[in-house]
Amino acid sequence: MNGGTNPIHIRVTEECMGVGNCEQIAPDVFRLNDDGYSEVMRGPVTGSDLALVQTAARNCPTGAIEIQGPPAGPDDTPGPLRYPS
Amino acid sequence: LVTTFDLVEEVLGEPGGYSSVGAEISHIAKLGSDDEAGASILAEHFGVAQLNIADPPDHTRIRRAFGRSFVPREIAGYEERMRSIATRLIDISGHNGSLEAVSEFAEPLPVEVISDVIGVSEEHRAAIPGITLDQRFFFGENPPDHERARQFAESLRDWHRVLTEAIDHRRVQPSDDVLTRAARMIDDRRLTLTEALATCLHLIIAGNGTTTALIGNTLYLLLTHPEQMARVAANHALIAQAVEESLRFEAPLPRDRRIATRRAVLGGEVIHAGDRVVSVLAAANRDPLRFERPDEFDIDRSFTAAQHAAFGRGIHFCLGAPIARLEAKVAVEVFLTRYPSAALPDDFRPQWHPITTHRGLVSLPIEQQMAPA
Repeated sequence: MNGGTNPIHIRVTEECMGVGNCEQIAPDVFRLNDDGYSEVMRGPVTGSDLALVQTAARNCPTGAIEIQGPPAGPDDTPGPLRYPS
Repeated sequence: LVTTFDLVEEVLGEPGGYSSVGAEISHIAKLGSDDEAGASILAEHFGVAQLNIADPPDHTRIRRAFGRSFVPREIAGYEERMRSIATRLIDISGHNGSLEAVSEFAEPLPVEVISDVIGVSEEHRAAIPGITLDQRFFFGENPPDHERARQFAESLRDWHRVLTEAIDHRRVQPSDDVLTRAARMIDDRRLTLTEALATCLHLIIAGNGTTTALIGNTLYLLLTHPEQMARVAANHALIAQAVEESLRFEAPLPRDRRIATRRAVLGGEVIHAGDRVVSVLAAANRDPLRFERPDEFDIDRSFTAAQHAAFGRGIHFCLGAPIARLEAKVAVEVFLTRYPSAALPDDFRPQWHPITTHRGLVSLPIEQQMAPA
């Protein structure tokens, strides 16, 4: 699991259909752009934002939010986390 | 029953713990077996994954298949069409000296709009309010009434046939409607035929009755709050927030049910796997911890859209919300243009639809003369 202080990377995929749940849940991280689709507002997030981003990903109707852990180290090979699973 | 905003959000935000699958089938099972043909189409229709009765990954697959047809940018293309239908409807009745704003305005407008979006041909549109009511009564009565079930099953069978033919036709002659998309999704093996039929019919049914209620409720709330109505009539820029407050105050779908998949503690209560958990959206929308003076209708409330629970929360957030919002906005605008100072009859008492899974008015009589076009 990614937690604590390791930064995670977030991506909104082309499955986004502009529902806006993510912006409601994590307004500091997601915003609907002028075309009505979600964009990630800032880079790697850590700590308390991570919980909000995970909630947003879980609440995305089309599963369009991808959360990726830190690059795999020698003892650690996290794959991309994808919600809903 | 879950009645606070936070707990409703918790339940609807955890589809893994609170499933959308199974309640319909167990309702159908209560019919017994004396109408096997009817039971089989009901079981077939409600046995496949549809938007509102599926969990991930099926839900995600179907939502992706149809979602693009319902994004605000696509829906914005229907605004002028909505306005011309609404204007035509209100003018036809208004010229006769009175308007029954539910049956002559709030009901036919969404039927026409959702038919355009899905691709239902003219000849089949008149049957839409009927199957919408059949379904509402069928699931609203416990146990279901046998005669009602028989009629509902018959309409389902008719619609499956009509939509199958329409999908076949789209393969030869594609259009930009949802049925064309459905044909492509079936051919790409992303959906089965029955999933596509069931989902298209679900969209037709969900896309009209709820919007009828939203338009009627919003007009009623404005008519019973004359000062706010006068401000909205004078400044149409206030319509969108009046619609949001109407959604909060009288949610057309007051509740959303789930079945617990595992033991959980919810608001201090122990929930067991298999328990029915009903989120009362209408109560969440009046939660005093979330909204000040929750029982007052106030269009000046400073909440942004989607901060209420009327469209649900989580992954099942209403697919048709952009249509409903735009359609209600256009309907209120057209109504207030023709009836800027309408009032209800002095002896008017609201009569709400008898099935409580639905919150909408049976009628809304407007007896004034219409303003000239």
